[in-house]
Amino acid sequence: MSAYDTRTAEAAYTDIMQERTEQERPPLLECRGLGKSYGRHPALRELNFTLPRGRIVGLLGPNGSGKTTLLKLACGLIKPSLGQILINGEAPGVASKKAAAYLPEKTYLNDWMRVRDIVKLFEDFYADFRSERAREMLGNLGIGEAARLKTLSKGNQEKVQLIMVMSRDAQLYLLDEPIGGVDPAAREYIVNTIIGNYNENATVLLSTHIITDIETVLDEVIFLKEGALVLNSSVDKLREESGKSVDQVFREVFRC
Amino acid sequence: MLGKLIKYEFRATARHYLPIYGLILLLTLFGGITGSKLGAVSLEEGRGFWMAVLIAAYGAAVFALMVLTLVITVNRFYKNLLGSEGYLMFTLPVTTGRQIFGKLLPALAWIILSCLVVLFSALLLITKSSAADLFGQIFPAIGEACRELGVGNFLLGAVELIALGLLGTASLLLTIYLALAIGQLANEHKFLLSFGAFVAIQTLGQTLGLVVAFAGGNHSLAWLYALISGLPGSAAVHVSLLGLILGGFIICAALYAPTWFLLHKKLNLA
Repeated sequence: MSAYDTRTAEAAYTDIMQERTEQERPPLLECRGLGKSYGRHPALRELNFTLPRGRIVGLLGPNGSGKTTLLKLACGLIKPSLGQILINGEAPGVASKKAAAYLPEKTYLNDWMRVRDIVKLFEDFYADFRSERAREMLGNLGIGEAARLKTLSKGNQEKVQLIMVMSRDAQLYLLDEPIGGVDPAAREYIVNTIIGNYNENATVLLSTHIITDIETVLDEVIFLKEGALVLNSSVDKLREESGKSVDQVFREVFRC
Repeated sequence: MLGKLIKYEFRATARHYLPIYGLILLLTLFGGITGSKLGAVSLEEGRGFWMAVLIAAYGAAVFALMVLTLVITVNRFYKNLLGSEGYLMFTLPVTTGRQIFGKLLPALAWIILSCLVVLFSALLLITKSSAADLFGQIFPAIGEACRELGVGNFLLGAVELIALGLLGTASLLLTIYLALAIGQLANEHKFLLSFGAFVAIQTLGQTLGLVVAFAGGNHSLAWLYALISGLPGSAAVHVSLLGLILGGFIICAALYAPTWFLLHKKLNLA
């Protein structure tokens, strides 16, 4: 066997092993019989699904369908009443928090802090935070780093939060209604920020009930209705099988 | 990571504490400049008005500091960990234990600093001494105590008393934290439940204390009394203090463990 053949065989072996390792890796996010109740009110009912890597997934459903509850469970901010939610095969904990970046629907940063202090805080705690990226995006939006968060408009505060979250090189982005309360121009900026900043091995799970603005960027959709999973499909397959857009399917499924 | 949590906690709380420390020290300085030191003047000298103003302002500032300390202690745990800011704090890659210590240690440090500020300013106001005199008197007083008690005894006693003070304060803080951790379990009226939990924990603690005291009265702790009374004077004091310190540790651990469990396994930022 020549030296060239040996190298080719080694390369092929490495490829096979990498592929096998990839297959053996636990799913990025997995729900096993996941349920959550607030008192007697069930918010999520026995969800079973996994999220693959490298996809933008729309978590879609009307208000009160359990989207926020699911994202909070993934972050460990609330605990399951039934079943499990796993990130990289582990229950939410320090390891999952290093892997996942979470954007809540409400403002959660200390509003007395200056923007540059918030950048520093993320830099201090997250090894995967890219402060140059954050500064560049803040500069593009004309948000001064010396400004205190409370002096910014609500829209700009939300953008600062999104910039902080998307400036991480996370494996999983959990974004709760990132386009919910902003104007159409800001929506476009936010969608572009999301697409432009996640790497191709990462997955974005974003919840929304405004589908038209993001439909074009979604790879997969998950429909939640009254806490239950009613659809989990790739967007291409959904369009092919139904002959309709995601928005049209959504309106049919959730018709009042 | 604990160091970073503590750094941000100090940064968040310093902006409340430092102005009130500044005010207290300013009033002390004002007392010094106007010669209104309480021990140095009498009403006949015509400075009664200034004295009354100074007493009122100083008393109000110290009272404000006490209220502020309580409010900040509760608020930092309740709002920063269990309110909307908790969405950030509990998504940081930090263990639950470090989150609790990240609040406890700065709160303890501020309480100690507040005590020192009040003690120092009050001594300056009440006595005729200047700051330099006061510091000048501290070291001879320590030397005197060392001569009387012996250096070893004095140092050990001082360490024991400081440890006891810290554990006592920590147990109060941990009681507040446990009460808030219980309160967050509710989906509504969280603060009300926290308040109820605080009263319940205090009542339970005092009941247990009484049970132990009565048990001592019934001679079930007679061996302990025999041990202490059989020792020479200073050793008996040290054994008693060390026993109290051990008790303080147990109380703090008994308050910390359920707080950790509730925040780690039952967190409910709904």
